[in-house]
Amino acid sequence: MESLTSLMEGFGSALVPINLLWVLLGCLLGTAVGVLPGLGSSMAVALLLPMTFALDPTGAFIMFAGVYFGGLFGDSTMAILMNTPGQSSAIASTFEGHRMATTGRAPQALATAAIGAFIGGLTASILVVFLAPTLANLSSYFGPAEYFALALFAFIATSSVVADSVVKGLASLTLGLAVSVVGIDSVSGAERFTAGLPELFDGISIVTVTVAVLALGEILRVASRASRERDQFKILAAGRPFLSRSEVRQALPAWLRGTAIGLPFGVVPVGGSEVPTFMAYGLEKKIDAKTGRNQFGKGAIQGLAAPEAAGNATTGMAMASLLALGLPISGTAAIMLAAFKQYGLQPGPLLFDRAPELVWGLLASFFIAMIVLLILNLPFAPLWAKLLLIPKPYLYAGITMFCVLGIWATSNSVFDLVMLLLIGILGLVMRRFDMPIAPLMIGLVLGPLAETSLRDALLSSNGDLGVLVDSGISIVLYLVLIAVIGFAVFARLRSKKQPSS
Amino acid sequence: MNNIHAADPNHPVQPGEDTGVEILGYENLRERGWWTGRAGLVVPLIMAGIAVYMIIGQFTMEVPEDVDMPGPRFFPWIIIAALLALAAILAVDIIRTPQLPDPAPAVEPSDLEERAWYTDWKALAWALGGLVAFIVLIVPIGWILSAALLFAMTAHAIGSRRWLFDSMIGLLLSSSIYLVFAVVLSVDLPSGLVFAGGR
Repeated sequence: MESLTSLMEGFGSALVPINLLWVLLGCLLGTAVGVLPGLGSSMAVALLLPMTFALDPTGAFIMFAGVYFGGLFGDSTMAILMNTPGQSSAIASTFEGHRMATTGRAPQALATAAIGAFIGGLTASILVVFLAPTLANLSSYFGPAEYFALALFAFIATSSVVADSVVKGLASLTLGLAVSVVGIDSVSGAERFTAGLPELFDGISIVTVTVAVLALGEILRVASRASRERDQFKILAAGRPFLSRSEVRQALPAWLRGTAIGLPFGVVPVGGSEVPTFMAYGLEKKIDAKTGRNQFGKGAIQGLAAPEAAGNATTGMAMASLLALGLPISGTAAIMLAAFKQYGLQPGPLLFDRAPELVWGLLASFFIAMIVLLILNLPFAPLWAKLLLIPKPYLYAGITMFCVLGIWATSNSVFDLVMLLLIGILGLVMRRFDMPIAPLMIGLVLGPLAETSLRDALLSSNGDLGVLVDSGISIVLYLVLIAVIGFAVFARLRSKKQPSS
Repeated sequence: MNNIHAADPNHPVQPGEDTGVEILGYENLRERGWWTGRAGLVVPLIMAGIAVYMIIGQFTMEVPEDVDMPGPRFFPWIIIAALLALAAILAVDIIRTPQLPDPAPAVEPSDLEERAWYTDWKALAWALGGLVAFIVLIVPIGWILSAALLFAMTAHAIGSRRWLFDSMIGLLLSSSIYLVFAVVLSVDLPSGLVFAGGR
């Protein structure tokens, strides 16, 4: 009940007109960036992060809530209308969603996605409200060894389960870790890998790396291929979204099943919502085949409803792990963590005591963002697609300008712009050779946590590695990790066999 | 966008499906002998380069005498070992099985002509050049002009061919950003030449 009173206070601070304006603005901007091809919700958060520095922390995070979920809505709109998922979590929605759109049911598809995302996100937000304080209490049992186990879990899971190639995933992760150790060591005060440059004493800013890898890398990739890859998609027309009663009856169980699949993945760090969306899609496909309806491949409404609900359920729940444990589950959550640090706030158990206004205001604005987005997206989703009428050169030139603006606004230094350029080139190289980006982000953000907790653990045990597996919690974590890897290997072997049969 | 194939091999989404555009074939890249499909070796090379930089850093690092063990060099050594090991595995992988990028579908006869490179180096040079110019010019000539130039050069890289029009749009956008961010939100953007250093 304590949570409820706190939440009400949160609504109190979020429902101030100016903060409502920030939510609305965040939803609009997030959806707008999410709609753009090649740019997903994590990009939206990264690009808009520097823009919020003029605001107070509460206002900034309330705006982020809008951007965070708005980006997801934008991703799925494009996945349905143009078959271009902005982020890997929207891929599962393209299969049936785009097919629905091509068979003349685009409005219904958009409505199914919007309502699914609403149900998933809302359920997750409610759970976060009740779970996050409990999780925060639970985390007082977490010592350095347990935190190291969690970080290792996130590292291995993101780079091996989500990435197509384990080696490339791990390589991307290590690059992120390498970036994270630059700067003055917080424990001993030693300068590490700074080449004597004072600009590097504080390390390489997470904001710079994010904008460079996610945005500039994509812009450079587009530039390097613009003359070769012609736009072949056309936007499918869409009318008023309206679901018939029978459509709702078909979609409702799928929405609920999708939500149920998505929720647990918000606290298990396997790299965000890609795994649950595919699992939800696969489950609906199996049910469809078993009941003999065989609508998959013809634009089955359940095949869209389930992954959309799952994706948003995971995204919503991911906030619980971020706020209560300080553990980012996905790339987007990693950038949110960077945002917290930018304001001098450390997510984790103490955040609830230190900045309760901010936490509950943020949670309350999730609910507001969900409702705003449902209102924005049900009738207006096809309008967003009109953004693509802006010629591609101007679209990307404009985004480039916003990239450099963001970096300049946060750092005021030419040095950071040079870093932006160099890391942007790395982002291009990684895209060119199919290296996944998410593990790099996770490594960059969790690297310091992994290092300090590992060193603390070893320090307390005088260098005995046994301390890492000394407690029940860490043993359970390692066992779950082994199970996850085993499952991933099994699934991969099975999917390799399938095409040949 | 290009991950769709990898994500679900059972349902390949054909490029250009439902668009009514006829696909004539696929882009035609020049054969590069042994190097065909092995350009990806640049990734292990970059990784090894970073590892070498870090090894040098490890040995030149000044660590306080009384530091608790494990010290500041401990974690970097793990990263260096991982970088070198993964670079080696990746390099062997690429040498054994060359990896070609997905070719773009050709929709016009001119798309079928042989191309020297997968990457459009000229376009990329324009985009990178725009960024370099911006970095060099932002302090001396200010945000408005340097950002407008960045806009025009990036637009040119992505295929726009109207310098004057692009520059005008760039100027319009950079000035509006200046108004909103520097004047209203008081973000510190260099004013440079436009207001002769004043505000």
